Amino acid sequence: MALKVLLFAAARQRVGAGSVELEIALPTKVAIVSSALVQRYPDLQGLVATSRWAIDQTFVDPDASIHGNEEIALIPPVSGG
Amino acid sequence: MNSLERSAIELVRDPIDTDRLLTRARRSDCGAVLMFLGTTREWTGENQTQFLEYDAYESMAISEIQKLVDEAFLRWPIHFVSIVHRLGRVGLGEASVAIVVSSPHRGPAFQAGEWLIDTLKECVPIWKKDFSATGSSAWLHPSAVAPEKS
Repeated sequence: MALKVLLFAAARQRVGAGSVELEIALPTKVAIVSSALVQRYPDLQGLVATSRWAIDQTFVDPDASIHGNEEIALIPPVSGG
Repeated sequence: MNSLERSAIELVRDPIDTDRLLTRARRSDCGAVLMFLGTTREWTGENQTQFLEYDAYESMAISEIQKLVDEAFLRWPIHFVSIVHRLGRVGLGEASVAIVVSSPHRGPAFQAGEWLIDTLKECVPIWKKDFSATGSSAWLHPSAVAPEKS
Protein backbone atom coordinates (compact mmCIF):
# COMPACT_ATOMS: atom_id res chain seq x y z
CA MET A 1 0.00 0.00 0.00
CA ALA A 2 1.40 3.41 -0.95
CA LEU A 3 1.46 5.57 2.17
CA LYS A 4 1.84 9.32 1.70
CA VAL A 5 4.08 11.23 4.12
CA LEU A 6 4.07 15.04 4.15
CA LEU A 7 7.48 16.70 4.39
CA PHE A 8 8.43 20.20 5.54
CA ALA A 9 11.43 22.51 5.85
CA ALA A 10 14.80 20.76 5.63
CA ALA A 11 13.20 17.38 4.94
CA ARG A 12 11.25 18.80 2.01
CA GLN A 13 14.38 20.56 0.78
CA ARG A 14 16.55 17.44 0.94
CA VAL A 15 14.04 15.19 -0.78
CA GLY A 16 12.96 17.88 -3.22
CA ALA A 17 9.26 17.28 -2.70
CA GLY A 18 6.49 18.19 -0.27
CA SER A 19 5.50 14.55 0.11
CA VAL A 20 6.72 11.06 -0.63
CA GLU A 21 4.99 7.72 -1.03
CA LEU A 22 6.27 4.66 0.76
CA GLU A 23 5.23 1.08 0.07
CA ILE A 24 4.22 -0.32 3.46
CA ALA A 25 1.97 -3.20 4.49
CA LEU A 26 -1.07 -2.07 6.47
CA PRO A 27 -1.94 -1.71 9.23
CA THR A 28 1.37 -0.36 10.46
CA LYS A 29 2.92 1.88 13.13
CA VAL A 30 4.65 5.24 13.00
CA ALA A 31 8.00 3.66 13.95
CA ILE A 32 7.84 1.45 10.88
CA VAL A 33 6.98 4.34 8.59
CA SER A 34 9.88 6.27 10.12
CA SER A 35 12.32 3.45 9.38
CA ALA A 36 10.97 3.06 5.86
CA LEU A 37 11.45 6.78 5.22
CA VAL A 38 15.07 6.65 6.35
CA GLN A 39 15.70 3.48 4.35
CA ARG A 40 14.37 5.18 1.22
CA TYR A 41 16.15 8.50 1.97
CA PRO A 42 19.24 7.72 4.08
CA ASP A 43 20.40 11.31 4.36
CA LEU A 44 17.22 12.10 6.31
CA GLN A 45 18.39 9.87 9.14
CA GLY A 46 19.76 12.57 11.44
CA LEU A 47 16.76 14.82 10.91
CA VAL A 48 14.21 12.02 11.37
CA ALA A 49 15.95 11.04 14.61
CA THR A 50 15.16 14.45 16.09
CA SER A 51 11.73 14.85 14.48
CA ARG A 52 8.24 14.16 15.73
CA TRP A 53 5.38 12.66 13.79
CA ALA A 54 1.81 13.80 13.34
CA ILE A 55 -1.24 11.83 12.29
CA ASP A 56 -4.26 13.87 11.21
CA GLN A 57 -2.60 17.03 12.52
CA THR A 58 -1.94 15.72 16.03
CA PHE A 59 1.43 14.75 17.49
CA VAL A 60 1.74 10.99 18.05
CA ASP A 61 4.16 8.54 19.63
CA PRO A 62 6.20 6.05 17.57
CA ASP A 63 3.88 3.20 18.52
CA ALA A 64 0.79 4.95 17.15
CA SER A 65 -1.15 2.86 14.64
CA ILE A 66 -1.72 3.74 11.00
CA HIS A 67 -4.52 2.16 9.02
CA GLY A 68 -4.01 3.86 5.69
CA ASN A 69 -6.47 6.73 5.42
CA GLU A 70 -4.72 9.15 7.79
CA GLU A 71 -2.73 12.27 6.97
CA ILE A 72 0.84 11.52 8.07
CA ALA A 73 3.49 14.21 8.47
CA LEU A 74 7.11 14.31 9.56
CA ILE A 75 7.56 17.26 11.92
CA PRO A 76 11.23 18.32 12.18
CA PRO A 77 12.23 20.44 15.20
CA VAL A 78 10.09 23.55 14.96
CA SER A 79 11.37 27.10 14.77
CA GLY A 80 8.38 29.40 14.56
CA GLY A 81 8.07 32.73 16.29
CA MET B 1 -14.97 47.16 19.98
CA ASN B 2 -16.11 43.57 19.50
CA SER B 3 -16.87 42.13 22.89
CA LEU B 4 -18.11 38.81 21.55
CA GLU B 5 -15.02 37.09 20.12
CA ARG B 6 -12.56 35.69 22.63
CA SER B 7 -9.76 34.75 20.26
CA ALA B 8 -8.46 35.34 16.76
CA ILE B 9 -5.82 33.10 15.15
CA GLU B 10 -4.40 33.79 11.72
CA LEU B 11 -1.59 32.83 9.37
CA VAL B 12 -0.85 35.72 7.04
CA ARG B 13 1.52 36.46 4.17
CA ASP B 14 1.48 40.24 4.42
CA PRO B 15 2.99 42.54 7.09
CA ILE B 16 1.14 42.09 10.36
CA ASP B 17 -1.33 44.91 10.95
CA THR B 18 -0.57 45.65 14.59
CA ASP B 19 -2.94 48.61 14.80
CA ARG B 20 -5.83 46.41 13.75
CA LEU B 21 -4.87 43.76 16.29
CA LEU B 22 -4.79 46.29 19.13
CA THR B 23 -8.13 47.77 18.14
CA ARG B 24 -9.63 44.29 18.04
CA ALA B 25 -8.25 43.55 21.53
CA ARG B 26 -9.85 46.40 23.42
CA ARG B 27 -12.51 45.43 25.91
CA SER B 28 -14.32 47.67 28.34
CA ASP B 29 -13.88 45.02 31.05
CA CYS B 30 -10.11 44.82 30.51
CA GLY B 31 -7.58 47.09 32.15
CA ALA B 32 -4.63 45.59 30.29
CA VAL B 33 -3.83 44.92 26.65
CA LEU B 34 -0.46 43.28 26.06
CA MET B 35 1.18 42.86 22.67
CA PHE B 36 4.30 40.83 21.95
CA LEU B 37 6.00 41.01 18.55
CA GLY B 38 8.66 38.54 17.48
CA THR B 39 10.84 40.35 14.98
CA THR B 40 13.66 39.42 12.62
CA ARG B 41 16.98 40.12 14.31
CA GLU B 42 20.09 40.80 12.24
CA TRP B 43 22.79 39.11 14.30
CA THR B 44 22.79 35.68 15.92
CA GLY B 45 26.30 34.94 17.12
CA GLU B 46 28.43 35.40 14.04
CA ASN B 47 25.58 34.88 11.61
CA GLN B 48 24.28 38.00 9.87
CA THR B 49 20.70 37.52 8.77
CA GLN B 50 19.48 39.26 5.64
CA PHE B 51 15.91 37.99 5.98
CA LEU B 52 13.94 35.02 7.22
CA GLU B 53 11.43 32.85 5.42
CA TYR B 54 8.72 31.01 7.31
CA ASP B 55 6.90 27.87 6.26
CA ALA B 56 4.18 25.99 8.10
CA TYR B 57 2.09 22.86 8.15
CA GLU B 58 -0.78 25.27 8.05
CA SER B 59 -3.76 23.19 9.13
CA MET B 60 -1.85 21.75 12.08
CA ALA B 61 -0.31 25.10 13.00
CA ILE B 62 -3.78 26.61 13.36
CA SER B 63 -5.06 23.70 15.46
CA GLU B 64 -1.97 23.68 17.68
CA ILE B 65 -2.20 27.43 18.24
CA GLN B 66 -5.88 26.97 19.09
CA LYS B 67 -4.87 24.41 21.75
CA LEU B 68 -2.45 26.91 23.27
CA VAL B 69 -5.13 29.60 23.32
CA ASP B 70 -7.63 27.22 24.95
CA GLU B 71 -5.08 26.30 27.62
CA ALA B 72 -4.23 29.95 28.28
CA PHE B 73 -7.91 30.66 28.97
CA LEU B 74 -7.95 27.78 31.47
CA ARG B 75 -4.80 28.94 33.22
CA TRP B 76 -5.32 32.69 33.46
CA PRO B 77 -8.24 35.11 33.90
CA ILE B 78 -7.89 36.66 30.44
CA HIS B 79 -10.62 37.79 28.09
CA PHE B 80 -9.12 37.91 24.61
CA VAL B 81 -6.13 36.39 22.80
CA SER B 82 -4.98 37.01 19.28
CA ILE B 83 -2.08 35.15 17.66
CA VAL B 84 -1.00 36.04 14.15
CA HIS B 85 1.98 34.36 12.48
CA ARG B 86 3.39 35.55 9.20
CA LEU B 87 4.57 33.12 6.54
CA GLY B 88 6.91 33.73 3.65
CA ARG B 89 9.64 36.34 3.70
CA VAL B 90 10.09 38.56 6.77
CA GLY B 91 12.75 41.26 6.66
CA LEU B 92 14.94 42.74 9.39
CA GLY B 93 12.94 44.36 12.16
CA GLU B 94 9.65 43.11 10.74
CA ALA B 95 7.29 41.07 12.88
CA SER B 96 6.93 37.35 12.18
CA VAL B 97 4.52 36.79 15.05
CA ALA B 98 2.15 38.91 17.11
CA ILE B 99 0.53 37.81 20.34
CA VAL B 100 -2.07 40.02 21.97
CA VAL B 101 -3.66 39.31 25.34
CA SER B 102 -6.38 41.36 27.01
CA SER B 103 -7.29 40.87 30.66
CA PRO B 104 -8.91 42.80 33.49
CA HIS B 105 -5.55 43.05 35.31
CA ARG B 106 -2.05 43.20 33.90
CA GLY B 107 -0.45 40.27 35.77
CA PRO B 108 -2.28 37.54 33.87
CA ALA B 109 -1.73 39.34 30.56
CA PHE B 110 2.06 39.36 31.05
CA GLN B 111 2.10 35.75 32.23
CA ALA B 112 -0.16 34.41 29.52
CA GLY B 113 1.68 36.35 26.84
CA GLU B 114 5.06 34.97 27.88
CA TRP B 115 3.73 31.43 28.14
CA LEU B 116 2.05 31.67 24.73
CA ILE B 117 5.19 32.71 22.83
CA ASP B 118 7.43 30.27 24.73
CA THR B 119 5.08 27.38 24.05
CA LEU B 120 4.38 28.38 20.44
CA LYS B 121 8.10 28.20 19.80
CA GLU B 122 8.17 24.61 21.11
CA CYS B 123 4.96 23.13 19.79
CA VAL B 124 3.63 24.76 16.64
CA PRO B 125 4.64 23.29 13.24
CA ILE B 126 6.14 26.43 11.77
CA TRP B 127 9.77 26.67 10.59
CA LYS B 128 12.12 29.51 9.73
CA LYS B 129 14.83 29.55 7.09
CA ASP B 130 17.67 31.99 7.63
CA PHE B 131 19.06 33.75 4.55
CA SER B 132 22.41 35.16 5.57
CA ALA B 133 24.33 38.11 4.21
CA THR B 134 26.93 35.70 2.81
CA GLY B 135 24.34 34.30 0.41
CA SER B 136 23.84 30.94 2.10
CA SER B 137 20.59 29.83 3.70
CA ALA B 138 19.67 27.30 6.34
CA TRP B 139 16.52 25.87 7.90
CA LEU B 140 16.59 26.23 11.67
CA HIS B 141 15.87 22.96 13.46
CA PRO B 142 16.89 23.75 17.05
CA SER B 143 17.50 20.28 18.44
CA ALA B 144 19.89 19.43 15.61
CA VAL B 145 23.61 19.95 16.15
CA ALA B 146 23.91 22.62 13.47
CA PRO B 147 21.39 24.46 11.28
CA GLU B 148 20.40 22.61 8.12
CA LYS B 149 22.34 24.37 5.37
CA SER B 150 21.41 24.46 1.71
